[in-house]
Amino acid sequence: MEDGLVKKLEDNTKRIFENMNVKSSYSEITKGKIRSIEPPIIIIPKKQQDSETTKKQVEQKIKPAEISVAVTKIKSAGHASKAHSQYFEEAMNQAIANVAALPGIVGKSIGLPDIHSGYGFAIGNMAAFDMNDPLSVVSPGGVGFDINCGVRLLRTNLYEKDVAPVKENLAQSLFDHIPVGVGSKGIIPMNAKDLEEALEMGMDWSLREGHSWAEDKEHCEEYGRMLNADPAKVSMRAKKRGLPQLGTLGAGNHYVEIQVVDEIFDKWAAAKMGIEEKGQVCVMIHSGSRGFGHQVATDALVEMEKAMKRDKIETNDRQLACARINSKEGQDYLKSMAAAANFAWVNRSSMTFLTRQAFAKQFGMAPDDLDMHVIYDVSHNIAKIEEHIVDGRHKTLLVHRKGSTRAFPPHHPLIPVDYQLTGQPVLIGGTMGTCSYVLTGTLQGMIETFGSTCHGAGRALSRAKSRRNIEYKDVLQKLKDMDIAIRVASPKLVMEEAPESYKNVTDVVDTCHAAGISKKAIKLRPIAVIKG
Amino acid sequence: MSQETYKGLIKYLDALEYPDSQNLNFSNEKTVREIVLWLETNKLKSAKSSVLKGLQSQNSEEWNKHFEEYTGSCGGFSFNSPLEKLHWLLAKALCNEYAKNKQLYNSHAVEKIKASNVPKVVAENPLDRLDYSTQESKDRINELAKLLKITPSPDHLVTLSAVRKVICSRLSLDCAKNPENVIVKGTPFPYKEVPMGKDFKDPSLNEAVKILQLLNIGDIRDLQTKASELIVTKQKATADPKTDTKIGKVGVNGK
Repeated sequence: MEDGLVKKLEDNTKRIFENMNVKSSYSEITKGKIRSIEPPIIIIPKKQQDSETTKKQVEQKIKPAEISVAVTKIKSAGHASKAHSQYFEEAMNQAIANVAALPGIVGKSIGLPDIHSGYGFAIGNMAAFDMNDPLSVVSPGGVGFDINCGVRLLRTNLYEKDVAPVKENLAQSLFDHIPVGVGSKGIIPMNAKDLEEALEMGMDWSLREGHSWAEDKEHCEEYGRMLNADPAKVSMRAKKRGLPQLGTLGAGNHYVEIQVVDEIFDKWAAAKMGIEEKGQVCVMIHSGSRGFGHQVATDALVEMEKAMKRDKIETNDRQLACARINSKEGQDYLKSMAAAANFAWVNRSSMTFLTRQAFAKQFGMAPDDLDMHVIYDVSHNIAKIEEHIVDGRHKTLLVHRKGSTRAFPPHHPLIPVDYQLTGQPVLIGGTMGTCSYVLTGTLQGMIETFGSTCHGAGRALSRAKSRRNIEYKDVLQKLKDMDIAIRVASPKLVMEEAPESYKNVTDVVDTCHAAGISKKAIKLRPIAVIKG
Repeated sequence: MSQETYKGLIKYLDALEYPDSQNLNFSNEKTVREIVLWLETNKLKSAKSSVLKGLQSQNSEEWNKHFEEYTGSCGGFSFNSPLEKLHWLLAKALCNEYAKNKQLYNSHAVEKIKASNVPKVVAENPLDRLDYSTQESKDRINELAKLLKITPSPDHLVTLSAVRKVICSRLSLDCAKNPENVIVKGTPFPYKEVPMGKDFKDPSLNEAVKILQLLNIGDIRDLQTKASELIVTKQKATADPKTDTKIGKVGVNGK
């Protein structure tokens, strides 16, 4: 490291310790009972991206060492936020810094508390690029392979006491309705023409076909449809992979969970979401665009490598393949990504339909009598064009959120009318057997993190490490001990998703709450899990 | 055929100056064929010669086939009965007529007629003859407001329009019969604690902005409800959700 940087780090440490009134070093703090979760770290490029000098320099390779690191969140809000970025894993720091060096980035590259390593951007990293800067880029690595992976939460008017006796049956019924697992195929008949329409229309397709309710669309990010989607920009291969997979859960960390409300932190926000008291039953669906999104991302990466050579864009990491937003490759990617996002919304809508069927059969009541409304549907792997105020100026930005959830504040025009007073609901899925949370967006988040917050627990162990270290039988036994009904398509892979493989979601959420970038509203506890 | 459809057809034919339009029997297929041919030769003039020939052979059994082709070539949709087709053709002919002499017809438009009659209307409405600027009307308006528990505005005309709003919505016959349809049952919400995005540094101004925000939310909710209702109406025609467990696989490894 350069001397200047070291000095800056030292200065920052001093400043933080003074502000927090802590007189011990980090290692001394962590010896105690303090949780080692970092607050959001914000890395500001050394030179302001607006300056003419920077604009001239972006074609040259920018070294991360030339970027100053500044911690802007200093809050004495419990132990969770006392640990800070300077001690953050070196590799993660490097990944965030690499993103901060991309051309056209505005303000800062932000790492959220659930950050872990990913392809290109780290998962839990968000960055915004100026749409009006001709040099700005879009990067598929900043969206991820599972485009529009997201979480949807349905409420019911049932309570734990109604569901507990039939928990196993209900879990089985869900398992009998929703296709899960690697290579699973959907049970909603579709042909190539239907797929084309679904890619263009998103949830409007589900509405037309009758899989969704009109109110579902209201409570969905982007109203369940990205208008710039163009199926013509999607490769035949992606469509072939996607067609049979529509309406399937998939594998990995995707799941459908029956959850009960464990704690209400904000009763007013909860009431707006139709959550009245503890014990109320909800259903959480976590899924994405399956093989379709993966293929769209793969295709784009190939195209972009060529575009980078042509336009002489250099990045610090080969995985950060990107293209100018205004280039053909950039535009094509945005259009095909939007189609993949629509695919994911149709996918979640189809599973919502199947979930409602399963509940209706089990309880012998119509889904609307069970009040099975969608509370909200968030997307945590996506790039969107949004309006933000940066340094007092209005700007149109392309916001990449990878493993990061949009969290818009109250009165934001893009959030549903029902949540205008509470702020956008943010759904944070835990891992198998751990809690999930509903947060709400805040004004502070809008100002500091472009209206973004964390997305989940965040991996602590790699998949391979989990497989080596944890026995799948132990995982299943543990869930059984916790009285959670579980149905898994491939049990031998279950240890990859064991709670031990992840950071503690409560710590992650507490950190975001303490940092003020989102506000805790509801805590949910699982009672049944369906997994791939 | 309903009386209304009958009247509609007669009205259209009358407007197109079809000879003897008041004495027609639409249940007679011959009449329909005659009208179609008359429409094509005098008004629409869009058929290909082969189709026109077909339409001219009024007694031919092939006539209906040619008619089908004819409406298709005019850009028609699928219809349930020949009368529906005729109705549509007549409307199209009227559109053409209107397009030809747009300016002439527009000079007789309802708005213009109304505009030219304004002074007359005023004279007929007794309320328009009242002088609202007198102290007496101001006092009476404020009394009325007090009775209806409305906070009076310094501008008595604003108060009057608020009075009107309350009377029309809350004291209507509809509301008296089914109050739950009109009176919104809200749940309390501590709206004062919600950050509004900007502090105007003046408590009363802030309060006013919050009230405006709430009113705006109410308006958007209404709009959203209407949008959702529209979607539901459309869904009645399009929705037909199906599943087929044979094409996929469910309940793997489950039991």
